[in-house]
Amino acid sequence: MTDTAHPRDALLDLVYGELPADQARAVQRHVDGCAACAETVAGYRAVRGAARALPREAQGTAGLESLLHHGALAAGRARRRRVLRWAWPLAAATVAVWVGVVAVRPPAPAPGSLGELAKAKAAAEPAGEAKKSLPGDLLGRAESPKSAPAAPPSPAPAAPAQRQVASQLRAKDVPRDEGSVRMDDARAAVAEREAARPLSSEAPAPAAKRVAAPPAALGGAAGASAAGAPAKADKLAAPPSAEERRAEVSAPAPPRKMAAAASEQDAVSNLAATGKLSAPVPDAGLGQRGVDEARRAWLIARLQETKGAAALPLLAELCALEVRLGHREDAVRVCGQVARDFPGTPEAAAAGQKLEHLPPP
Amino acid sequence: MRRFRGGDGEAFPALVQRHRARVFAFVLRLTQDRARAEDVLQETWLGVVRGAAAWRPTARFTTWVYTIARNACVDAARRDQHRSAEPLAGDPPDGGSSWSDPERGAGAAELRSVLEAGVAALPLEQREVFLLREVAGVPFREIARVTGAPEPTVKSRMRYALEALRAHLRRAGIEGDAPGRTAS
Repeated sequence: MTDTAHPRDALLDLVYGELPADQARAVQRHVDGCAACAETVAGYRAVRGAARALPREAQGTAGLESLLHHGALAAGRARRRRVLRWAWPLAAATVAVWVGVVAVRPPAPAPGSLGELAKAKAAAEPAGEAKKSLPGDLLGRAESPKSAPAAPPSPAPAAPAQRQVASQLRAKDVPRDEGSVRMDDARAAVAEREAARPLSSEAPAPAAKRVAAPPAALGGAAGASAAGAPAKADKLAAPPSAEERRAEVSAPAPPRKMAAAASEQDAVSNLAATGKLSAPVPDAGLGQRGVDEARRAWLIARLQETKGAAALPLLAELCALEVRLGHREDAVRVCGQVARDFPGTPEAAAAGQKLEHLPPP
Repeated sequence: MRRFRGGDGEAFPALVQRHRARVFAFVLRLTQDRARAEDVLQETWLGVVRGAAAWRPTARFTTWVYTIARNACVDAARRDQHRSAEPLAGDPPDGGSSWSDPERGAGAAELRSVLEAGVAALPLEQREVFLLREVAGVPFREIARVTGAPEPTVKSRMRYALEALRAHLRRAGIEGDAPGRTAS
């Protein structure tokens, strides 16, 4: 028997219904006229008929519950992987762009701009501080003016290594995108903060040679490394005085128009709203402090949208970060909130311990 | 399966619900041992969970899950080789008591017993092809993927299995649903 004379495979396909309709008709015509194939097909069908008598075994349920639990966990992991697949590159890109912005500061603070105001304020209040406190609504209490020990204005740290990193990062800076308004706002806010940071009496250096301070976090982390700076950041948004307005008129235009109303918190909110700052920030050459500051900014942004028990892990981490970064007052505030709002939790206990071991001011 | 891969927590129970009985029937008759079949079934679904990330929508889920089940059977048989000379052949499974056609009554019970014995007596490669097609309802093309054998080989094994079972039934005096002898 050959396939040419008796299509054996086709007979099998015919019995199991795996032939297209036209081929099935052709094979059936052959079977109708071929005794041998008809007998083969009858035999196959006899076994198929008998096989239908095989009982459907009742499978046990042993292990079913744990299996389903295992599946649910796997589904959760898949969900997280899917989110992280998008979040990490976005976060990395955000940090890279942001660091580039910090590195490429304008050559001179625009007279009349917030930076200029801050400098003027610095002259008037040498013992002030530029550090902006955490948003009041985050911690459920109003912002209070900070008092810091009087200290002479000091330039931001300018280690050669940082200079090199800043230079490298500037080279990687993303070109300005006219469409990314929110990002520009963030850049403006960061640049404003950088301008407000006291630069001592040193003359403004060309941007290419400007030293980039370790990237402070957005949203309240401004000038965290410049504690003791003479300007109060919470006054940055104050309207200029008449004298300042006059100075603005007579001053040369800034190289780039800054959004005067954009506070750092706005920048954080914008980034959070666009999802550009939606995940832990990887180290993009910032150094540990820079990473911590970026992470802190992200936590603050998240906390503005997070209520109830979900805020606990964020607050606990923020507490630890504030301690590590040396933000004493913020540490007291955040860790105190953890202890106060979530009593009896391990996080509250850890926060209490951190408060006890805070270095003296 | 797409939903499960995407993180839908309710998709996996639905998958298990839909396929578990058929997979178990296949595994039970391939292993010929209920306890082993239960273990293999569990391994199979755990394999589905573990391999979900690697699964591609281009592959049919049934093909994939039966591939996992079949490989788990083979692995179980290898593990048991030290304990049994004939790892995949033993007592016929003591399955449920329901018949697809209750009118057959006592005759059906005899038919079932004879057929179970006939299936158990098939060589492993014929048995797995027969069970995949007849019990699991997997098309021949997909069986080729499950077993890693070419489709013509799969069909040859199926033919041999059908002819052997037909002969086995006839020896037991059972003609099945259709008269006539099996073609040689």
